[in-house]
Amino acid sequence: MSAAATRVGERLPTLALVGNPNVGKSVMFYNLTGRYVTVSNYPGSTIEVTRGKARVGDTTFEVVDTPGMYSLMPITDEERVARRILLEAEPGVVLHMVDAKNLPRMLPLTVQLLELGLPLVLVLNMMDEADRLGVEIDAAALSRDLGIPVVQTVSIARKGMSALREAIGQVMGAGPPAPPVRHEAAVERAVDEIAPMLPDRFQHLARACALLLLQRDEEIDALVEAEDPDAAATVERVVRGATRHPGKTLSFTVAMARQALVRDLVARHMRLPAERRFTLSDRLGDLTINPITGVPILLLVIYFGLYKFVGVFGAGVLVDLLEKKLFSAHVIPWLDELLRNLLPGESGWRYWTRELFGGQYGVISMGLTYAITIVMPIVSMFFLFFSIMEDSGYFPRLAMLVDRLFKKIGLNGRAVIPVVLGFGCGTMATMVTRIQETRRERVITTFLLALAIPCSAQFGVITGLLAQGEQGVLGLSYVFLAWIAIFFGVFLLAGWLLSRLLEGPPASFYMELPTLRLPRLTNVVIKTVARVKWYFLEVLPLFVVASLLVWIGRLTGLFALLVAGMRQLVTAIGLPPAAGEVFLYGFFRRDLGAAGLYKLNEAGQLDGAQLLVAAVTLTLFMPCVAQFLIMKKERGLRTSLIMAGAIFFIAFGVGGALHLLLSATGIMS
Amino acid sequence: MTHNANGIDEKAEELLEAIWVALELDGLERQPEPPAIQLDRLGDEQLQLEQLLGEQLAETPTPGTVRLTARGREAAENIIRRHRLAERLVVDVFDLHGEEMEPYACRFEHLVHPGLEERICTLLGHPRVCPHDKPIPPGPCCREERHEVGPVVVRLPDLHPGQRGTIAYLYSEDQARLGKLLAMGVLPGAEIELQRRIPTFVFRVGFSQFAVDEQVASAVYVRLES
Repeated sequence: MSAAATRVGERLPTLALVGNPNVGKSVMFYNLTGRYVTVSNYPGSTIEVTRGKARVGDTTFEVVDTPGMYSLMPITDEERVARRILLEAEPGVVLHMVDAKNLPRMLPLTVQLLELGLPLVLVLNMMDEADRLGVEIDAAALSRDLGIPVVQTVSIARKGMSALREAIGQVMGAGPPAPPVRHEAAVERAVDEIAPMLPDRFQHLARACALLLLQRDEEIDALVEAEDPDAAATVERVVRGATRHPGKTLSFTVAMARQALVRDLVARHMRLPAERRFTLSDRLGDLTINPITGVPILLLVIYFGLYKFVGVFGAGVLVDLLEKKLFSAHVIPWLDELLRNLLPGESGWRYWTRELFGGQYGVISMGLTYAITIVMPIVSMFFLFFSIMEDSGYFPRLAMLVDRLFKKIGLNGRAVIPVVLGFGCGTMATMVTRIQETRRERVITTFLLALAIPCSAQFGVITGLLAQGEQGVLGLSYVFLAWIAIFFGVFLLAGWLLSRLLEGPPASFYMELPTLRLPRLTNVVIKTVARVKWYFLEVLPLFVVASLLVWIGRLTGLFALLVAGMRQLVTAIGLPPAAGEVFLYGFFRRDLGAAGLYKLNEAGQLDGAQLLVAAVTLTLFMPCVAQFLIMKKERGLRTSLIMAGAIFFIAFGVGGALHLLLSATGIMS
Repeated sequence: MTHNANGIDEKAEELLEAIWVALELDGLERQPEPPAIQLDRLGDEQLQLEQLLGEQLAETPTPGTVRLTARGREAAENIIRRHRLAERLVVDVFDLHGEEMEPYACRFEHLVHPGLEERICTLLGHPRVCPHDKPIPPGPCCREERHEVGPVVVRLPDLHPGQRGTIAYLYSEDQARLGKLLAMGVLPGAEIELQRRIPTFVFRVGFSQFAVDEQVASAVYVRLES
């Protein structure tokens, strides 16, 4: 690492990458920084911010890849975080990355960034696509008119990097750019009045903050209020005075003034092709959003991505390799022998100490073994699948396909992201409900994730279990299809009822559909690795905790009591008493429950009907400890306890009803 | 100054209008090849003559006279038509008369573009004469005796797939909904094409595609292309 980077006690100048989602920010980030990268949550949020170091000329920068933003007036948490970084970090240089072909739509943000008065470089990225579409941009003229460097790049091919480095050097320390827009007289008067009243630490951004206040920005308002209540009151009066013009809101007036500048710049410096050229990706994109072709494509994606790749390959082939061929055959017997030699005996402290690490439920033999041999391969494959989908731009299309259906359960298409993620890990998905806009949506999604979405470990093991039996379509057994139909039915019905129960405004849906593209290997690997890493750091310790709790429960005899109760319950829904343990352990890890079921089945204790009842009840049953803890953190203890109670009741209710139906009709005997 | 479809500004349009009115006074406006007019009959507006000559809307057969070309005649007739339709609109619909009416009509005639002109004409029932009883040159809509006026501005959900227009304005009771559209760069003046209605509304602005539900789509008001 360079000397400048390691100097102690001196903050490095920040280089902030800013722009819409899907404009190639992350790739540019890696082009600039190379290997020294940290991914962390922005304080107080789940939004991940990636930081790294880059050397440009003689300066070492701390590079920040901000979350995607459309405007300085934030709507989503991502935008709030991105803006906070810009307002608080006082970046040495800001790179506004845009998708060159969509320049007219992205220039308004450039104008807003110029109004912030920070040293700015406009990066016209994805120039290859613009060229292919016949879009021409006079970058030199644009640069002259905006008063900042404008660089053309193709980040994925590392084109234009040296020009970009030069531009960064050029604006570094060059002083703030001139404000690009003169707003309506009333707005300018109000800005001049507000700016000097703002607290000192906003002074370098006074004009931008005044404009935001005029657009009734709550966050800035609260910050001013906190530092100087008198100024806040005066500001409020000025804002109200300026807004009194009939029939208009100021954000509209301000946006229109910017738009007028943008339109002028675009008219003079950008040439669009007379006829829009349709590329292969356009045609493919159309197929994915047309319900006639889109729904079959969706089913194929689920079949190959989720079933074949995560289920059959991850949970089947990989788990088999790791668990059976490696751990069960070599590691566990070796561990058992080692422990037995060290701590012989069938009772007393030696036995319990041995059981803490080894035996059926030990921290190593159960906790770590399951984590590494079952959960890791399945979850990794799922995250790989998820990252590929994410990078290809498919998710927004999926969201628009299901929007109407999701509206029926009080959600909107956007909820498809936490729901799909729930098929990977419900704990992570519950955290991701923060992307939703209303509390009502977050509560509904949290509940449905806990109730009706099997996580990948559970999905994998149950898929393996139910693969036997009479074959239906596509090599899927009827039992498996019945299981899917039941939990999907419960998902819709519970969602519909809950949306009736909880009052609130309808969820509104709006999303940009990015161009479909082949996923980039580097992007996919980076995203997958980051998620698997998160999973190991956050969730793996919980495996150990769960094993410890089981150990304590067994040592104190508390588990014997609980198991006795559970045995009663499972017998009532027609399962063998041994399944009681499966459910109890299932709460400590949902996937452990599924794995227990697997063992029960291997021992020949379940018939076809019992297998289906057990699979359904276990899928609907309480989430694992980790997910419950996250629920409590996100939704509060009271809401989470009510949800847990309802889930318990529904799981056994549906299981019992299914048992009665199957035994009365004799369908599966 | 803005330039209109004929490539001339509003002042030059008024000169064309004045030439046409002079011909009308002589009862010669219907002639296939209208005669030349003495320039001194046209008042101050003759300053714009250069523009008409440049655009080949008029020629000067002898010094001090001006004659409309075939193109010029057609352009003049359109302008007169718009002017008199604007007068009818102001009188019949806005209920303004006499001196009150004239300034509005004058401003209107320059704002009325060809597509809008036909709609106004149909709305007013294809009037034959202006409020001063001067004839209004008939347009294609009069000859076809159209009776139904299509709306000029419609909400995005009322477009059919493939239909295009320009975003006229955004309106919603819900400020947050407007904010979403503004933030995505969906702004008045942008060209918009509705692509799908099912399973949800998909539209294109520039090279970007957006999917929104009916509530969000309803906040977008689109001026249709004629």
